[in-house]
Amino acid sequence: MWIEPEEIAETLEMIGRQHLDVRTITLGLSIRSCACDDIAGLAQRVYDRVATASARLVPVADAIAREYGIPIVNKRIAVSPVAEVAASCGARDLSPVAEALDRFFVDMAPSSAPDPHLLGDFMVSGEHTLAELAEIYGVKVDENEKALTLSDYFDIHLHQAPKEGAELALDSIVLVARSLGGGRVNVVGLRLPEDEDEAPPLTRRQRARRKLADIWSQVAGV
Amino acid sequence: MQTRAILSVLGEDRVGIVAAVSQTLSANAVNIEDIRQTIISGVFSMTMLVTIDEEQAPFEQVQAALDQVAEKLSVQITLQREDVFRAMHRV
Repeated sequence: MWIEPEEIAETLEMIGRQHLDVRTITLGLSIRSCACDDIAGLAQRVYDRVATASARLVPVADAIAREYGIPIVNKRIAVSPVAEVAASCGARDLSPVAEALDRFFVDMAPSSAPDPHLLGDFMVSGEHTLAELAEIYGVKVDENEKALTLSDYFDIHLHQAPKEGAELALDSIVLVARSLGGGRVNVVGLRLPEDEDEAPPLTRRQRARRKLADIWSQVAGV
Repeated sequence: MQTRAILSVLGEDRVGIVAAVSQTLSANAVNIEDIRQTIISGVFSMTMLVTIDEEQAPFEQVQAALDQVAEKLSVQITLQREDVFRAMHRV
């Protein structure tokens, strides 16, 4: 059964322009085999179990995304209820297990896929003018450039034919070409400056904590 | 393992697109099952149904080879497993 070219074009458009993606894939792990009569041992086994089972999660998910041509945005790990396996050790404080999972996410190598932040935090149409952007984001724009649209700005300031991912600075923000049509940029990603109050180690820790919170919500939902 | 995939080429019409694409496919032991090709107001659009012999050339290798062709000819080439389109358009 042949798929019609129109259908193929439609699918490519959904992925390329309308940003269809697979939001999340979840690796569900039973940690029952980690039972141990000592909480530290249990925490270490949980760490090893998660680390071993998920070693190839990110590269494999990225390879599948490439093969199917659909981005997989989040890769998540869910473990079976900790309370169940913790019954084996009789400890009152189960936080070492949480800390072990926390440590796993901090130790984990970063994904090879590009950081979504690099593509811009927000997307806007190329039809918007620089004046509008200046108003919303407080960026400084030359008086005589205020009437230009973002597409015009790319035409004027980019010294080669625009490609997806091409970047241009506008005061403190960076404009990223997200989608092209007829040789012009028609969707622009806005990369806002990083929040200076957050030191990198802190954000890393916060990220880990958020992931941990995700796990807990998963565990609670199992 | 035989993998069925859909290859699509989109770009400005020019000499040698079909030649370059099919040459790359044959060099990677990819069999072409079907080709549909049209030109809509100067835009070259081709879709191919192909079978990739992953023992001879893995999917990723074929994709990488086609990326090079796409860059050389300044056209857009995508290679995706056929299942995606089947899942999207067939009940």
